[in-house]
Amino acid sequence: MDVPWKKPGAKLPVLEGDKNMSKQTINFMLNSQKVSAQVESDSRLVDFLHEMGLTGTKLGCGEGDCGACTVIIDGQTANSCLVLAPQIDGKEVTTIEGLGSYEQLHPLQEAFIEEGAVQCGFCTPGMLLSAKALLDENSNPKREEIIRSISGNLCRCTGYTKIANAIEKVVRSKS
Amino acid sequence: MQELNVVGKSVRRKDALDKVLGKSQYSGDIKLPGMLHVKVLRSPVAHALLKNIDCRAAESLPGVHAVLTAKDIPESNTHGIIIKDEPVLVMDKIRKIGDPLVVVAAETEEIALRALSLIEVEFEELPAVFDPEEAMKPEAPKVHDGGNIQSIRKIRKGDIEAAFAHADIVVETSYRTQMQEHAYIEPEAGVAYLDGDVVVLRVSTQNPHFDCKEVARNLALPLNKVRIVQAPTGGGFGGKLDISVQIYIALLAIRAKRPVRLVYTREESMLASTKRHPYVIKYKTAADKNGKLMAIDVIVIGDTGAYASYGPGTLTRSAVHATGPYEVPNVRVDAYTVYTNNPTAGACRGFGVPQLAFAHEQQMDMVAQRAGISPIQVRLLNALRPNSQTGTGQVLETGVGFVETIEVAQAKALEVLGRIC
Amino acid sequence: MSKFEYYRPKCLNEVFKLMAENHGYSLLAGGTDLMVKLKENLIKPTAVIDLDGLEGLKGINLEAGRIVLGALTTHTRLEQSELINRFAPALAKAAGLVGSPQIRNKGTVGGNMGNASPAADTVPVLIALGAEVVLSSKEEIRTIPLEELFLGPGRTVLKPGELITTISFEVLNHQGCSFQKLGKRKALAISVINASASLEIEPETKVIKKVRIALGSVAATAVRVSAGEEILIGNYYSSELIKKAAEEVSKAIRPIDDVRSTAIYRKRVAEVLVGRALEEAWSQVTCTRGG
Repeated sequence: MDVPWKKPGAKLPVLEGDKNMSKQTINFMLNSQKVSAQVESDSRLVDFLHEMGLTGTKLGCGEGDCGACTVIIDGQTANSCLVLAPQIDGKEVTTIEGLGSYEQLHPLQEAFIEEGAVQCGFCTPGMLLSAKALLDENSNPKREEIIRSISGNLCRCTGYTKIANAIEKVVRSKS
Repeated sequence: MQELNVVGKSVRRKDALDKVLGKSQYSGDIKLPGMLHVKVLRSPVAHALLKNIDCRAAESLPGVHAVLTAKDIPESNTHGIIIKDEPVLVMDKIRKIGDPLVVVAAETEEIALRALSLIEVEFEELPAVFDPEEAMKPEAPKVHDGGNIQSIRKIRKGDIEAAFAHADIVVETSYRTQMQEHAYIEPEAGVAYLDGDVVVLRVSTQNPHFDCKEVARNLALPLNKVRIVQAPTGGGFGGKLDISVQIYIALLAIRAKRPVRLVYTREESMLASTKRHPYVIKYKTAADKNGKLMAIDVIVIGDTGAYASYGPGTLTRSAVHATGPYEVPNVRVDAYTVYTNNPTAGACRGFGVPQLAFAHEQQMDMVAQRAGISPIQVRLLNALRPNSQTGTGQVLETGVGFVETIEVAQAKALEVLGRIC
Repeated sequence: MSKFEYYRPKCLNEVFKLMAENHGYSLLAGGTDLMVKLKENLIKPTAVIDLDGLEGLKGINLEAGRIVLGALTTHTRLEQSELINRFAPALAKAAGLVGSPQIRNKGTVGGNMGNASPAADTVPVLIALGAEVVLSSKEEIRTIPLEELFLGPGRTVLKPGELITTISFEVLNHQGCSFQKLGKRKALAISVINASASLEIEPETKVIKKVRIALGSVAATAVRVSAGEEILIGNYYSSELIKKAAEEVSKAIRPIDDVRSTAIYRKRVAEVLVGRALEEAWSQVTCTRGG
């Protein structure tokens, strides 16, 4: 969303959004639960998740560069800032909230804590989901494959080595 | 040695559990009952006199709760980490693209954005200056009334003229380094609400105590009526030391009597936040024929942009570090903090040292070349060691690890590359 | 973001109908470019037509000696496809260098064409492979060479009511193809410049029979550079010849300065990249498929 500029003498802009656009109903699986919801056609998945109270998905850039908003849709990672909420109708979505809980951490979450792979934490949910998508597809990835799998997730604290170590630790413990 | 509970142990981060579960409440995740959303109208021009702001249409838009300009700031309307030269909201003069003009609190972000689009701003553009060397000239457009040279930090040691007169090797080069955005992955954000007569802020910041003082000063409140809570902060790297959303949201929470939230977009974050200072460095090195340093003569010009922020501190650090990790008997450094109409530069990882390192390391390589010795030899020859004296006259007694660092790096280079240099 | 209606039709006829009814439509394939344009208010469609329901346009087939790509095939699928890795590994390589895993999972080959970025990574390879695109509308289905699709940055010959449905290229036994990319980083990098080359040889004599050299990010659209091709045709492969061809390509192109690089730099690295692309294409032609 741009902050609009206003120069002197310019005409008042035509207000957008005055037209009463229809909402639409979507049905999808969210973290293994059936969800039915009304969404605006122009709402982004990341915003819709926040509206639903799922704030673990982070918004960093809004253009698919940083990967902080990564979720898993039908088994594949996606930037939820580049997905419209109505697009997930009929799909299966996993967010960080579906990965583990205080009672039962996912092994990746455990490893991220143990290996010191968490710093400011803003990239962490996206990193974890990229790692999960990799391990779901390939239970024994090489180090290069691990690094490639998180290449769409920026960590501005530059903690990549420890993040890759954490993922590797889970791989090793499984094999 | 006695075993300690924490020191020497691998300790779990206290906040790691919430972070891996996505449960951490960053400022932008906080929702409060009745919360309003804040947006900031910013200047599209770099240098202008602000003539008038007409907010009437924005104020009458349904869903808008407050539209505030500089006139609504109770007290000083200035903030700044070292010098209070930055307006909370511009009163009379715009000094950079992105300078804040109006803040709006509305029921939704969308309404707040529409309100911004209804605000009429009248301004008279002024010639702007974007190059720090240009800005230092007397005829340059003045960013601030006091002139564009905000401060000069000088270091003098020994006899520069004599050293250069007797030098076998003189290396003189100009360097320029670029502006750099911190790009912390969480854009600036904060919420503010009233708890009795205390305004409480949960904000993405590196500097809660400073924030508290600035908010209190601008809002004419005693310090104990402002409470700043640092929310989990998604990176800062120096860029979240300055004021961002704090004063706006405190002001609007009080004026609208509702909790408010302001989350910058990435674009706004880039536009409004501080940057790493771009530098012009004119570096002259004198050495004898063996490559032993005799003197340095350095002019550093730091473009601090429209406002000082940490400029004077950054340039001081640059002056002190101009010698690098080397012993130099004769030193002259002039470090200028210069205003321009560029984005404000402030603290950024390394705080003026990386820029100088870029220059002095190039100089060392060139000295080595001229002396016919290796880059490592020239560094070892001139390295600070225990009991060395720095450019500012400090005698380093212990903890000087430079030579050991070179040796380790040398061993590593040999291991990885199979050769050195 | 402007307000729009969202549709997810299930068949092409429905798409044609929606395009006819909504003049300000935008087609949504993977959305990795469209969503950014929507956010920046660069486009303000009245309707967004999501093509995700068109299952028939997803997939990769070998039909009568041609590889046929559904326009909605994602980059991830291209990269991982057995057929592509066997018959056009350079295309798999290019697809694997697009954006990031997240972008490759969503972004489609047809979308990459339709977006008409001069830096698109799959385009030079497909041009080098001699690809054709099928454009469909309610009225007609037409097939054009891929390089004729583009008019300029973001502009194609697609008419209102028309969309890209398939992209295809011939599988040749004695052809090798390559892809070279220079980005500012290894991932999430829009190409500063990219290059692809295909070489077809006479199997008996090993004389170079046919060459295509295509570059991205050196002009308003991806371009074929015949100046380099002519030097090679009818000759035997040699490193001197490759060097000469790469020099000619560098001389022929007219890149510009922009946010990612400068014209001078692009001319210099074009020579290096084209040299590498030709070497890579040669190594493909000589080692694979029992050709």
